[in-house]
Amino acid sequence: MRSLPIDILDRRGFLTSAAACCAVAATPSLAATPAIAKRPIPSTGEVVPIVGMGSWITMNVGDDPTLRAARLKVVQAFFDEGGGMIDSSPMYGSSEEVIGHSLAKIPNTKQLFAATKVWTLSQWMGVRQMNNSFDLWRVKRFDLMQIHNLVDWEAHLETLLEWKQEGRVRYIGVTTSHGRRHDDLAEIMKTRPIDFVQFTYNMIDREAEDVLLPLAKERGIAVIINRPFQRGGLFDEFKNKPLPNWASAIDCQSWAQFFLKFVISHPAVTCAIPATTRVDHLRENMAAGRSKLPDSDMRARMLRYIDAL
Amino acid sequence: MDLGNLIPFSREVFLDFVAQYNALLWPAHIATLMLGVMLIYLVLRPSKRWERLPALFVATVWIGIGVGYFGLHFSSLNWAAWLSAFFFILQGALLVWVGVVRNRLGLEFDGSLSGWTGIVFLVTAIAVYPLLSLATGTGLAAIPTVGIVPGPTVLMTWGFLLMTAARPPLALTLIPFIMAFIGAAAGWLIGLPADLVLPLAAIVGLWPVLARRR
Ligand SMILES: NC(=O)c1ccc[n+]([C@@H]2O[C@H](COP(=O)([O-])OP(=O)(O)OC[C@H]3O[C@@H](n4cnc5c(N)ncnc54)[C@H](OP(=O)(O)O)[C@@H]3O)[C@@H](O)[C@H]2O)c1
Repeated sequence: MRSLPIDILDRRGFLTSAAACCAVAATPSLAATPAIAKRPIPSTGEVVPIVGMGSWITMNVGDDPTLRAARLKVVQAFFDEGGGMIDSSPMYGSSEEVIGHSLAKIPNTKQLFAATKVWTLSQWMGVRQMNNSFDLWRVKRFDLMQIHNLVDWEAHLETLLEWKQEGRVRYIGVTTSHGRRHDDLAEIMKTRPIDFVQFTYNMIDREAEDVLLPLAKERGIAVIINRPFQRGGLFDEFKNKPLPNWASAIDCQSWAQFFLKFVISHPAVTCAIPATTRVDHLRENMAAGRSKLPDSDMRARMLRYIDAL
Repeated sequence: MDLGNLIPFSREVFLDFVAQYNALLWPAHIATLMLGVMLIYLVLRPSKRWERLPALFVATVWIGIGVGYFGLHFSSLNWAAWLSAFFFILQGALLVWVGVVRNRLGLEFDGSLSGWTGIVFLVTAIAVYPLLSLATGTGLAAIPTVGIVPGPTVLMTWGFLLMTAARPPLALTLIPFIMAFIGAAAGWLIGLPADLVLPLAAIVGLWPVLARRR
């Protein structure tokens, strides 16, 4: 069984350049460690680190100073580890505000790829909500604005296409989660000019393999994977089971890396966005993007192992 | 529907929120607890003079929780808090209309099953529920107090509705019924098992309310 270092994962022509996957993170502390892999956004070729960060529940800590300080450390570690994409939504309570608060306190956020969502009915409410997100994140421009769970997507898409022209957002996306409205999302992918899609994919929930992942690749749409750990469910299910001894062949030190490497090694995936409240978990997750990824044979073996458990 | 999608905060964050809210409102807890005990006193010693007072108290805490707890504070953690705020204020307004303006919610203890159940619910709201919460790991700072946070207030309201001299309009039971289930579902999802007493009270309480004479 073979596994490939990330910089030769290109055998299917997926990664466009060595630079795309091997740009070194700016942080001096990382100069000696391998850089996190990056994948190109098909619509422009711009690259993003393959492991990003989600914020559902984890960043929703309100205004409690102790909890905010703890989350600040997580965001700080994310950038120290070469992270880029942070994903949020107005649906996630105070998360956007907590992210904005953290970003304002962190010096090395140059790699930030700010991704949030619009999640409301009507175009007018959508404009208000998105304008509010600019204030909460304290940014002048969003790298990615996504239509959350396809809510009133036609209305928001109209606004977003205009805003993209004006430079207020750089990319447009649409999101969903496991098994929800996949047909509708596929239709949008086929007919509308979107740059990103986001949906659930993990070692248990693999419905996206049937249509969405191949379609994204065919249409040149970047893919963000949410719930790579099935909202933590994968840990509950497998934490007492042993990692296979061949996991070291793909540099997996933990179940988290096993699960995450499976997701990010799919050739259609641009980036996965695990969420965490813990600095040690964050570092573990980022490390998964910095070492060997499984090839297709190894991915099949990983699945067989999980199924047998 | 995946209920896990509906709760955007963790147990830790929720308890921290309640602790902060408690600290903000302290020592109002003493007043609301005393008013809760006063409900028991007024049902055992009904007085024409204070007939509207229990409804006024219950209405005030529903409106207070709607505005303060849900509207001004919890809405920053959970967008759905706006809905709860609306329903708490609506219930408060209904209680004012029926109990204060129309004076239809005076208390009376008739020794019936309904009356006893009401007293049990009141005692549970004031003492048992907070102790149960403490026993299941809530921590003293986040202790749920009647009249301050929704859970014990919903319980107290069921007690109150069971102890009124005349059967209360069914419209007054609708919001406490729904809130009992929503509260318990949220509590269960984030790991607060004490909240399971809420739907239990709603089910046990609804039958005597429905069955009582007019
Ligand atoms: N429709 C949509 O747009 C949509 C839907 C779902 C999700 N999303 C996005 O996708 C993101 C990710 O999904 P998710 O947060 O639901 O689930 P997830 O990332 O699959 O799982 C998060 C859970 O995994 C745990 N975890 C993370 N790293 C770990 C590690 N190294 N070891 C052990 N446990 C670890 C976290 O707990 P700890 O805090 O203890 O680390 C947390 O409980 C969301 O935050 C959100 O931004 C979007």
